[in-house]
Amino acid sequence: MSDYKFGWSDSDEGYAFTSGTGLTRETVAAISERKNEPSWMRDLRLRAFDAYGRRPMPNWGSDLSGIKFEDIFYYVEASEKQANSWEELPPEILETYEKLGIPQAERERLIAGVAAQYESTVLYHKVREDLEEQGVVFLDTDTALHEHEDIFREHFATVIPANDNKFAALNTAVWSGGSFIWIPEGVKVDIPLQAYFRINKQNMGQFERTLIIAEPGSYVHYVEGCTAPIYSSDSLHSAVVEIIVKEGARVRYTTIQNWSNNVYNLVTKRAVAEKNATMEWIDGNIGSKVTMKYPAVWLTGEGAKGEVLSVAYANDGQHQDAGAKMVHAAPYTTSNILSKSISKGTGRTSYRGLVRIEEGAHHARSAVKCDALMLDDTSRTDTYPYMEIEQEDATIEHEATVSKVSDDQLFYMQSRGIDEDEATAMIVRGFIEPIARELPMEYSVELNRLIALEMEGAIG
Amino acid sequence: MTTSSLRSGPEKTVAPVDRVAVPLDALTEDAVRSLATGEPDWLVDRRLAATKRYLDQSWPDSRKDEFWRSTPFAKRFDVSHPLVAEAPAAVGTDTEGDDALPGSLVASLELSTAQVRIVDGELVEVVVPTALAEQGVVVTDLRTAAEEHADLVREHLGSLTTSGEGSGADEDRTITVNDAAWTAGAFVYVPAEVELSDPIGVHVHVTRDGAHLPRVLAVLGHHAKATIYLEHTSDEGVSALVDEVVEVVAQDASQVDLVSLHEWADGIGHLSLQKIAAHRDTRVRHAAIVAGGSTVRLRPECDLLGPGADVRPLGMYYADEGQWFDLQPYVRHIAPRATSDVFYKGALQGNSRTIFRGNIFVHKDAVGTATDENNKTLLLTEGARADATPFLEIECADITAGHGSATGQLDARHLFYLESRGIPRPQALRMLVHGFFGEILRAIDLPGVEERALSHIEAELASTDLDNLGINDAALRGELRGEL
Repeated sequence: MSDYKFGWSDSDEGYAFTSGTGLTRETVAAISERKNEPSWMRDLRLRAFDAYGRRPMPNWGSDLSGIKFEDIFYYVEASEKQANSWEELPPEILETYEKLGIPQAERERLIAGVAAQYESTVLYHKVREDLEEQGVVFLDTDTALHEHEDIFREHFATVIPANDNKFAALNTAVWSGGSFIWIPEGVKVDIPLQAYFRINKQNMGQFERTLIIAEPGSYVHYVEGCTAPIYSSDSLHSAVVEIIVKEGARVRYTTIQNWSNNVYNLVTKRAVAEKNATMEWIDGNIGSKVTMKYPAVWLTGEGAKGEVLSVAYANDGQHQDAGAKMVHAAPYTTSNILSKSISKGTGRTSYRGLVRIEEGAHHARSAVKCDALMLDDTSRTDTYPYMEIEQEDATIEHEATVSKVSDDQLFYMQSRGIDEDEATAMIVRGFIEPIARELPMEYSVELNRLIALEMEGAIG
Repeated sequence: MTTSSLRSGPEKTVAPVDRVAVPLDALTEDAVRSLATGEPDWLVDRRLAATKRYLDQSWPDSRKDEFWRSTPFAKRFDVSHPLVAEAPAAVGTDTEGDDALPGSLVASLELSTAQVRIVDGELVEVVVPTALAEQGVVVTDLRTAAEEHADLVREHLGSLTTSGEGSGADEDRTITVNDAAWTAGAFVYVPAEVELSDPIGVHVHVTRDGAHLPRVLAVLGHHAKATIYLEHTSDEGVSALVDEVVEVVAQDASQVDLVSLHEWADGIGHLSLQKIAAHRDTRVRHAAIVAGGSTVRLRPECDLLGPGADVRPLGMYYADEGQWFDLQPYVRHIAPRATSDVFYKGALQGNSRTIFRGNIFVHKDAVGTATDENNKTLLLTEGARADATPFLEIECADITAGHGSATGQLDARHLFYLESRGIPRPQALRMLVHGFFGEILRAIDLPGVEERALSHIEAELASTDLDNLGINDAALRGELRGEL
């Protein structure tokens, strides 16, 4: 725990508004009122709250009995107003992001736009002017609701309905912050849009909501990173990400999550890929107490493509239950899943995936590959791939391997003068390389650095 | 049948009990007591303990129970069937010309070997050749064995299901009901060091509507070797639920092959747990040939309890219009340095459904485990649905594990190759389907089994319109695009 690099926390004082702990209908209505939302959104939140009460807790995957729903702050508003430049951010928040290394990339203009969310509020966002001129919208979700209500209303909660599952319902009831991206037809954003999410308050629930709409023929790469400091009690992160990739468009969504090890990270991420569209999820899961996350693509248009590349690292006491879902609902759709997991100590990784080929989705093809690396004799890894095939001409393949850092490999490298820790790190870097090479450079470096931190003392 | 056989009909076993026609979903303690009339007290007590568990349990719910996720229990199995209460319509004696019972595979091999027939919840025939009896081999009615071989039966019956301490302790009601109310059972015992060259036959046949609860217990002493053919057949037009439990205890260094043939007519729902305890250095093969029945949910399970054990669960299934096969091979590596290799192949045509749900569990102490799991499914025509879930749960790093699953169609390139050599299309298609299954049939390699399996494949192919078989031409199209 002491190795956790982002384990400082800022002062707990000075929040402009908090909902208090626990959740009631009144809290939900109060959040909506506080945000001055249109009535349809308030009604949707309240419907979602009812669904949240009705929906059962998942009876599979990780043990979620440790979540104390009644102790959670569902909405905490930072006192600062949104800033227009890094320099305008309050010093303590600026310092936080400095430590995370975020302004670097922003200053150097390596990215097309950036947003930063602190607790429930997005405090900073910026889009490159030329993109703004082309009509690219990159806003925090709350602002977008007011400024682009028509587009927002047309798409919000269409990919993930309010009652989809217990945690999606909870998010829909209390969502706050997150990113809203709208890429006009034919516009290709050449370098990534980025967002950073941080839970700073103890017992905080963070419920950001991200909605990305890529109009026909457009392209965008969105990157998010998440952290939380360490507190003695658990926090809940339950985001919802909806992505609509219209005809011929392509969206790439990259997450590197590095939660502290008392965060329950229960996220619903789903994209719809229309005709000849491409959706790519790149997902790095490090840290957290429990992660349950299965990025999904609903391939609804002919020729749509879906891809998930994911890497998970489970250290002591952690359960990374991550995977992917591909639903082939149209002809000539293809999907590809590559999942890599590393487990250490009492950590547990699980790949839980679904490939469904619906009737009529002729000539669908899917390939799934899961590789698990175990660093010692006490960790655990599972593979739970579901394949449901209703179309006779589908071609589906699934492959998995489990391996350990072998004594032979270590001996070979040690005999060439590489010490054991470095040898192990090299093996792990080689193992995750297929994912790391898909990341933007600074994220690839960050992923390797985070894994190196997790691995200290890996070999007993 | 050779003249050296000892024959015994039901008159030589414990007298048939008063059979009660209680519905399977309304079992009572009184009904179970009545079923157990004449049994030793310990067995009655076990039945009653199981009845108590049964009363506390519900039937499986696919929304709540992960292992029932793919098969809606209430839709596919009728638990209102009463236990079959009438004696079998025809107590066959396996004489030639008596067509009341279909010939079993073992009988057709014309071997001098042991056989048991269970018809409509009653053991109607036991044949044990003198030569086997003299070696100490026991093949008999389970009730008789509970008296005559009380120590063996008491130790092992239920040891792998709900009565045991092991992995069966939290079994669902479909198993508990058999523990409580099994109606006819077979007991097979092969003493230590005895190696049998010919298969022992256990044939379950159904002629009457109702619930049938057969039970099989087989125990192999150390260094023993045996093959058991477990056959399931029924008359046409019968509507029945067969809820079966099979336990096989393979003691140190023994070798056992268990072949389970499912050749039901339509109208039979079959629930079967076939569980094998593999102790030190055993070599176990389980081969499932599933070709008939309206719904078959088969759980071939192997617990690797001793170091060096080796198990090979094999499966071949072919589902046709209206059939629903849910196959759940489960391997638990509990001991170190054991190996397992699961291999299932299936084909579907018509409006049919198959589920392959493989499970490999490696306990943290099972160092040096080597395991592999593979499933391949061929979707031949429209309307078929195949689910595959090859699971791995690994608690121990010092192992090698892999799994693979593939679902697809016949490959147009293979068809093209055969046709280009002058083989007519229908024959070429047949060859491809045969070739697909050939791999698994060669792995089974036991007398009579391949022929029997091939006859099912032939029958299925004969009933299908070969011109309408789906052919995957994606690769072919890809190659053509490449050339252009």
